[in-house]
Amino acid sequence: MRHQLSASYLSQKRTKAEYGFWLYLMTDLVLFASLFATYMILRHNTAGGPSAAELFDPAYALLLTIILLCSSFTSGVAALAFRFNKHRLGLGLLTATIVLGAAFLMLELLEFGTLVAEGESWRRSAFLSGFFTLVGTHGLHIFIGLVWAGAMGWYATAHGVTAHFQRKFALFTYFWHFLDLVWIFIFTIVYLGARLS
Amino acid sequence: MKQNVSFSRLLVTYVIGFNAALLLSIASYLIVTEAWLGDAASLTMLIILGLAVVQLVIQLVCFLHMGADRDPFSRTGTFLFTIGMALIIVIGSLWIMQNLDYRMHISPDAMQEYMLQQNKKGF
Repeated sequence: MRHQLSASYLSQKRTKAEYGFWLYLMTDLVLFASLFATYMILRHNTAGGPSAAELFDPAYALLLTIILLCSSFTSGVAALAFRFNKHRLGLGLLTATIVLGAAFLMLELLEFGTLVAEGESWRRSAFLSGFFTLVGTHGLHIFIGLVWAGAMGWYATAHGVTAHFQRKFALFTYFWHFLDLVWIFIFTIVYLGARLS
Repeated sequence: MKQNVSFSRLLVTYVIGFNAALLLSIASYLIVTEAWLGDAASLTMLIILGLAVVQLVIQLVCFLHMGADRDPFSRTGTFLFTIGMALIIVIGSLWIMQNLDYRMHISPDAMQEYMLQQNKKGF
């Protein structure tokens, strides 16, 4: 009886936590919407500097897109593996998620570094301010996600894969999938849209 | 949480979602870089945005299992509401700024002159 009670308590807590976290993600969606609006309005205001078509390489963006999609996929399957008590598989996939996410962030920082080194930083034009704010905010979310994923990995090795761990990990996968969804639109509007203006 | 579904059956959903997302991303990329639609920039933009929305829906269903949870904690309702807000922000901002741009369509020199004149009048 007591066991039953605690199981129902946990499942209720899980549902509530998931819903609450989902609401946070929705507020984040509004944040990204305003940054997208800013970028789309300012993207032709180059102040005599380079335009989007001159700066962005669609092939590079496609590589980033595929890396982040793979990372999103591995995190989802990791959650599934933990749920079915395949703990080693889950931990392996969590590691893959972290490695792919770190690769994504490194490549993005490399691009930022190249732009700044060429003198095309956020101070160059309104267009570049909009670009760095939008893509930089996404990158910051990725960084926070990586720290979170690392903490989850530490928790799993220190305390084992408990019911609490599974509940927390489900929230992480929400966050990670959400970031991939935002990236699809950055890829389409910023990087592919650069070729169409 | 349903226990009667197997690991491999759920895995199939993820694999389908992954492959569909990958194909859609590559399709958008090829449409733009290979210029499959020629010089029709607006049409191309509209089509790749459409593909992005299709990918959004696929990922929501396959990865985030949207529509699978029970009331009263339904994520779908809040999501649709937020998408509505996001569209109002984006389309509304673009509309207003384009209108402003159209109405203030004077040369930078003329604008400078106008601003100086207004400045002389004081506040």
